[in-house]
Amino acid sequence: MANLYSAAAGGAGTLAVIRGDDSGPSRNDGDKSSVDAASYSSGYVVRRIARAALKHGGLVALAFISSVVSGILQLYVPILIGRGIDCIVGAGQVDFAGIDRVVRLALFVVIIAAASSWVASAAASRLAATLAADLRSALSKQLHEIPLSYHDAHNRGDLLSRCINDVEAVADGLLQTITQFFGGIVSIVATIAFMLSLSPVVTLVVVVLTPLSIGVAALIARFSASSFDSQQALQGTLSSSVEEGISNHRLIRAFAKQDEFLEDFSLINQELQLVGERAQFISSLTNPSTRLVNNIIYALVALVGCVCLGTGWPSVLSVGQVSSFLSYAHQYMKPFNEISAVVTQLQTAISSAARIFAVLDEPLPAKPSEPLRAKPSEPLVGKASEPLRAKPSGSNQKTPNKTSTSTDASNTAAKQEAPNKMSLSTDSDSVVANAPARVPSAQLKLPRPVSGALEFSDVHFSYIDGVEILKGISFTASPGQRIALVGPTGCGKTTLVSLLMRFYDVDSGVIKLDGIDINKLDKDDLRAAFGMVLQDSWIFEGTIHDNIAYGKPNASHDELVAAAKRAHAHGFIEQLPLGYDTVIASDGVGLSAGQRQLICIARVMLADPPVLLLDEATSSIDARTERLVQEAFDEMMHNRTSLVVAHRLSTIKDADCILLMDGGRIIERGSYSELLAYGGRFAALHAAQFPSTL
Amino acid sequence: MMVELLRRFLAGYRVCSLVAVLTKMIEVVFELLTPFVVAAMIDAAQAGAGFAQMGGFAAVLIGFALASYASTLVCQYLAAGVSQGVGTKLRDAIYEASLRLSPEQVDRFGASSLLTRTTADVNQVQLAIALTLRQVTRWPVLVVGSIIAAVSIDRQMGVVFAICLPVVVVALVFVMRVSVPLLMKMQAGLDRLSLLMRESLSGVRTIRAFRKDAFERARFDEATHTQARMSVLQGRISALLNPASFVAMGVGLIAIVVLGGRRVYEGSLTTGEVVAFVSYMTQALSSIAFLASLVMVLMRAHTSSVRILEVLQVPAQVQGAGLAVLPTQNAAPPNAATIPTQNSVLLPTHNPAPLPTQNSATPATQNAALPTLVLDKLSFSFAGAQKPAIDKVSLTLEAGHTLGVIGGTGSGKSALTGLIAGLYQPSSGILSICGVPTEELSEQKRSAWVSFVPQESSLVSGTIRSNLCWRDVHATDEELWQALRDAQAADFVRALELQLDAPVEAHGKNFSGGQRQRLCIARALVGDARLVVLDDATSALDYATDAALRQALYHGARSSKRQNVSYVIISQRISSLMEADEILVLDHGRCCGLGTHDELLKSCLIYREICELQLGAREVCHG
Repeated sequence: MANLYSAAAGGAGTLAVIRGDDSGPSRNDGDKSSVDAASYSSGYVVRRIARAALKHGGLVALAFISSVVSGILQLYVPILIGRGIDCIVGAGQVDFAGIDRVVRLALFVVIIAAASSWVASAAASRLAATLAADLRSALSKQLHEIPLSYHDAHNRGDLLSRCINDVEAVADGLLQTITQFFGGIVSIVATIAFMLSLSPVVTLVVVVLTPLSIGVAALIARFSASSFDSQQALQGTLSSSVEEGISNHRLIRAFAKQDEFLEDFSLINQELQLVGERAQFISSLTNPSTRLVNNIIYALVALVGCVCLGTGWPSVLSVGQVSSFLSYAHQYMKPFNEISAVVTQLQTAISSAARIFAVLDEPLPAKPSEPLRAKPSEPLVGKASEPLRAKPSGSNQKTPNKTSTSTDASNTAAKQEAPNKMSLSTDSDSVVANAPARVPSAQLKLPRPVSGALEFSDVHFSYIDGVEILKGISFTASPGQRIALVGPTGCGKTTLVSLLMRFYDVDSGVIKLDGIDINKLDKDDLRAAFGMVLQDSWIFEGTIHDNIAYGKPNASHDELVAAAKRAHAHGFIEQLPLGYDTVIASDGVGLSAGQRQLICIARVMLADPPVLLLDEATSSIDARTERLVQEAFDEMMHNRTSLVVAHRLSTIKDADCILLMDGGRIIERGSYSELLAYGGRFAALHAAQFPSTL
Repeated sequence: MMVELLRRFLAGYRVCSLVAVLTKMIEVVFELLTPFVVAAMIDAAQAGAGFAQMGGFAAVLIGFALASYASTLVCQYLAAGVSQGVGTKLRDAIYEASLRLSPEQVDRFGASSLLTRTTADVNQVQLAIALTLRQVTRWPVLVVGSIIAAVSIDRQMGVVFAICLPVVVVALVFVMRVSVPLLMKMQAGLDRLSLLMRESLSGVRTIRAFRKDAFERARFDEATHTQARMSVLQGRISALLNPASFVAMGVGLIAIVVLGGRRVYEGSLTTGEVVAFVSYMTQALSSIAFLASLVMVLMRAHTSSVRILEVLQVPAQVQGAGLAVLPTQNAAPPNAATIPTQNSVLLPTHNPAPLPTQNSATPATQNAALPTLVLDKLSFSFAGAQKPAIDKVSLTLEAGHTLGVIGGTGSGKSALTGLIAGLYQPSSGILSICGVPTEELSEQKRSAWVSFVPQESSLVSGTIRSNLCWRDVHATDEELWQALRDAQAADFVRALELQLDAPVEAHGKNFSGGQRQRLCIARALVGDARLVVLDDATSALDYATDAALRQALYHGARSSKRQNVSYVIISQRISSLMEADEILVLDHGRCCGLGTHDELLKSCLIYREICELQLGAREVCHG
């Protein structure tokens, strides 16, 4: 039991398999970027899941063997009961000793069958739970290491759903595969074998009629599939109608449009009712119809069995054997139904697994010390040129050729356009098959204390190849200086901050901190030099204390309170019911936006970083908290190099240098008074924003 | 809960449900008769009956199968009709209830939760109804029928059934008892995983900045493994069900053989009858595991029912006149109920109105002399709130004038818009629009007179035209273009290939934030409103566009028919409202300043503070 969890927790090997490191048929790292879940073939997905499961080989073997044992033994019971019945010939003619022998054996078989059936499902569910844990760990690891661009480009809800719902679906699918799918196949094979051992002729009756039942089920499935499709489509329309209505709720009320919205909804709803009835009726025919076929088979088995019993032709059967046959005829269809019921679920599981793999296969950056000759690959956007739908066999001849050409093409393209995009990495395990061996850190440590001299020289950057966000940014900040970044949305202010933190790496140009190219620095070491306060304050579920201590968990309470005081957060925290021990929800319910920001400021205060990167909130808050926030910011920026994405006039005025950015360039720079006197864009912008000054 | 729900919504389907259950029973009866026939068949075969007689028996069996199939078809058909019908009625009811909720109630439920309740939860209930009609009736009938059939063949043998079946039921109940709380714990665990992952995703920048990736990973891994441990435990317990029922069945079968041997020896039973017993036993117990999954469906449906009822049973909280009842029968006195409501809009000048007095049923007119908005000691508290959200606020907004409203979060701005929009009713004091107190204002009149631009832009899927025509279905193209021009939106709409008929995706996703806001403003300007409320509606516009917009609203359009339109501008930006005729400064629901920009700078400390923050101290002094 212990090794189950250790395997789930530790096994790098497991993670490697889930990631697909053991180069599956479609692995071809380096030439695909945003991995598309749809490009995985189901065969590949199934094999990869199987490989991941096989890392827990013991469990797999246990599950499969015990499921075979229980399947066979369960089906052996009707034979034994039949034999028992054969000991009962008629009044006065009963072989009690025979019954005794059969009953002992049957009891033994029943118990072993039941036990192994329990072992089979327990092992399967343990395997499923372990796989789920493995997948979630791998996903979590991947999402913490993946370049920030991935997070920016992907919907958060979707990623969350992959980690939670899709993993659940895969685990469920695995469980069903073993218990229902595999178990069903075992029962079918065992039933046929046992029936054959009794009488090939009667077996023939059953086996010949089986396709009839399957055919009926398939026919119904085909009919219901189309009505399910239209039901699904209508459900979607209905959902978006509800969603629109509810999200515009206030306005609908204000404009008195409820009735119209309700009417539109009702129309869709009625249509859905009709389609739904049809879909449900057709699909609910499956069970009765197969049962009908099954009952007819049952009647025929009874007929043939009784004829055999009475006449000994075409084969000799005893009463007990007829009884066994009837039991089999009863149960024979059950596994077929189970298998068909599981098939849709398995399809869901496979597509869920593909979605998970798409996240895991997203290439991680290469190693930092060699940005320019690192993998000449991974353009941020662009098609995965090698379709993952590689056929494992059959098309073997074609695939490699195609792969290699497209790889070359994409490599060339990547070299030209984005030589070193995302080419830097965190400390992760080596996760991609053909990634270069880990370079033992040639990374420099930042000499302490950090004085905070910043230098940007001709920095270019683009999120998407060919669309430059920063087009040659150069400026310097001496230690202790306050730099205000001003400009319209999308001009690159926030990007500039992200580059400093090395959330992204520059396309060209150099950024230096204390005279050292930040690309040569250890990422963690670099980030430790910065304190960052973002517009949206990130609060996690926990106490206020934990939230503030996030960057310095071992801080003493006094230190923490001192930081909160300097952040002007102490006052309102004291007023909370449990003070610093008050638990706050992750959406910060109960705290105003300003208070949440004060907590984030206190968090940075406590960490006491030499350089500050601030993103002022645009939306203003109530005047008093706003003032507190501003004072907290001022306090924090005192004697520290700071780079502020500024919206407040006071910040702008007090800045040592204002950089007015537009279209990825610095178009004006200077102090507040210099820029106003210059009478350029800054002066115009200022006039629009702060009209009273004119 | 499910019962309560069914009582309300199954009403029209009683007969259908009953017939469905009955036809299901017929199916089971035929299934139960089958072993009887088989027993007779075996006994006859042993007695040396001929092929023809056997064929006769087989024909009877096939006849049974067909008859039971036919009655099942009826059952399945009715079950589909009933469950989908109830589901449809439920969806309508929930959606209607959702639209009638107050904004706070919507927030409390959350939009996504309301959506889930309308769709997924109803589907669960639907499934449960269908399965109840189709399956839940089947199983007890099968079990009870098997016991009766067994007892009727041989009383002693019947005892075996009477013992084995309860054992299985007990096992089932035990497994359910233990595993259901576990399942709920697992759900809670899953929610925790979800929370941790959501935090990791939303805080990815902060986490990296603080170099806490490893910490977050460890936290998540730990939760993951707790979850795995729980699912392993749950798996082990629910895995008991199948073996337990198999053991019960096996032991029952063995008992039948042992006991049957004795009874046959005594001559009180035939071998064929023993075979029939075996069939009954197999039949009754092989579906037990299926019952477990049915119970799960029912439990899930129960949870869903609770969630659905939560929406349906929300008390109609402080709703505007005309909302609590049908819109046409508004709360105005009977003599004014319908006709003036119609006429007041169509033929306004025929009803010159006195100033609002007690008899304010008299419809207001387009008389420009009437103030558009009057607040007299207006107070409003949210249900359960300790402090009023609006506390004795008084003001008068003349036709053609502009009121600016400024204040922080929790100052009462959104309560004020809610009151004007009729989403809430005043707790005390008077709010009258164009001379009509809000209690007496019908929904149609209010929506004809008052127009809104909400904080979040709120375009719906359709075309630009369908969005713009919200307030006036018959607006002409010229009117639409005029509104677009005033809203500074004409340029980008003209650039679209289909112009007014250009498609709008849900939430206007195919437009930028600023474009969406301008379209929402244009929408509010269509249809001759007399009061336009802009609720922080220009936050996504750059300052220059914002200024041009205000210019167009106040001055450009003054010459046209909009000259008497009043505006309420709620904003966080001083610059957006400093030119207003009057500015209301709200602080915790109280009016702490009312006057022009210059007056407030002198008289209102909070206003001055806000100005200093936004405009800088020196400018304020100079101003």
